[in-house]
Amino acid sequence: MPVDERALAESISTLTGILEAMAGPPVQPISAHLSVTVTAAADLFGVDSVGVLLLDGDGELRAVASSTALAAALEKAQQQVGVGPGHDAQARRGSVLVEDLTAVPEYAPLLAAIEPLTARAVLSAPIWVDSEVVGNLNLIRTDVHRWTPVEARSATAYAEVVGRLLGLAAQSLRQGPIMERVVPTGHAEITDVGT
Amino acid sequence: MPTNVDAKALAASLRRLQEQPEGHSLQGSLQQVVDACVQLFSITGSGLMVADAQSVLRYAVATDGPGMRLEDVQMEAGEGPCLLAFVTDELVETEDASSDPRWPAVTEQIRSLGVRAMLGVPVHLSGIPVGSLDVYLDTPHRWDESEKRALSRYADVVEAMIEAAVAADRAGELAEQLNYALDYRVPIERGVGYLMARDGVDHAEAFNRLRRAARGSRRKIGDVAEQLLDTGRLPEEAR
Repeated sequence: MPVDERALAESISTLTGILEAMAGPPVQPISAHLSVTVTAAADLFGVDSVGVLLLDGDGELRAVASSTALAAALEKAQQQVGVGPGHDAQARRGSVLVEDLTAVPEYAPLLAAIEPLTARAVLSAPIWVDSEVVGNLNLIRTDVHRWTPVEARSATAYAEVVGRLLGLAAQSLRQGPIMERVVPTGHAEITDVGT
Repeated sequence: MPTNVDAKALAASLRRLQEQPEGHSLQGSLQQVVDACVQLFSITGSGLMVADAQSVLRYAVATDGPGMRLEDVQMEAGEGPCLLAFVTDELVETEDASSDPRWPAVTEQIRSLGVRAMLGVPVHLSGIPVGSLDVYLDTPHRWDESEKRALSRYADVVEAMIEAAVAADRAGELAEQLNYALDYRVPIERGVGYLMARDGVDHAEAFNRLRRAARGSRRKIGDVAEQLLDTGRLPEEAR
């Protein structure tokens, strides 16, 4: 599952306010953890794709992780045009359930930016760290779908887990280098943090 | 790059959170992950057990009272689905734990707790089994393949949370437990393999022999395993 590691690294750095002090410690653990979490979400929710948008240093939502190209395309489009379920979830500080993207007039610029458009139903749940919404978890289906209250509650709970993971990552980075032995092997180090 | 006031407010908020005892503690993180498990799987309860220095599973977190007692019951009896999932490093399922003949010592207590169907999966830290994640229902239930796959998938998320939490919160008894399990799991596994080959027993029995030897000699299971590997004998087998 592709993870935009640079975008992730920048988001984590912004969250903690430690960009200047980091001097480039590896942050691959949270990259691996987020990858596992996003991939698992696709399976657990039975959706076609899952993505994560996080605030960057400018307070803008950026595409950070996506389980497939479907989520990557939707997230990139949201990032470019500034509208979409992720932006709405961010603004409302609550989940946004979209049964059919094409039926929402406000999303016309978003749809125009995606070619071909395959995403239809989207559930965007805010990711909280402490009292702040730092991004959102997006469940995506290629068919029109009315999200159930159970799905909405489950997505909220899962997004809280993602938020906790991000908070823990921030805490680890503040404390210094992460213990090598809990660093999963086989993941590329990120050396361009903050560049 | 222009300064973003919101980002600074967020960083300050996170720093405040770090000062709070239950902000991003290991215990709190694991509690959140089992709480979410209940929401995700529409189950009655969930719990997480983690191995201690004797490689005995200990209660770490649970979503409710029966979940806590369920862990205690298995811990005290030395048998049950959660323990078996950890010992065999495989998923363990039971349609009705209150009448499952595999664990006669705990069925009655499990029944009294109102626990029926159970599913347990091992959880790992850096690839090494360190405990088990368990879910239960208050009614009998035959777990289907999709449910088993889903819980195994969620165990991946639990593992990610454990790794992140141990890295972030290195203090406390639970962190010590996880660190010990991590440090000594390799000699323990080698000791288990040695007993399997020497005594012709399966993995679960070999692990239990090692565990009993540790408890009997009041030593840590890692030390007992290392002695076994050095001398070929358990403490009780000494000349």
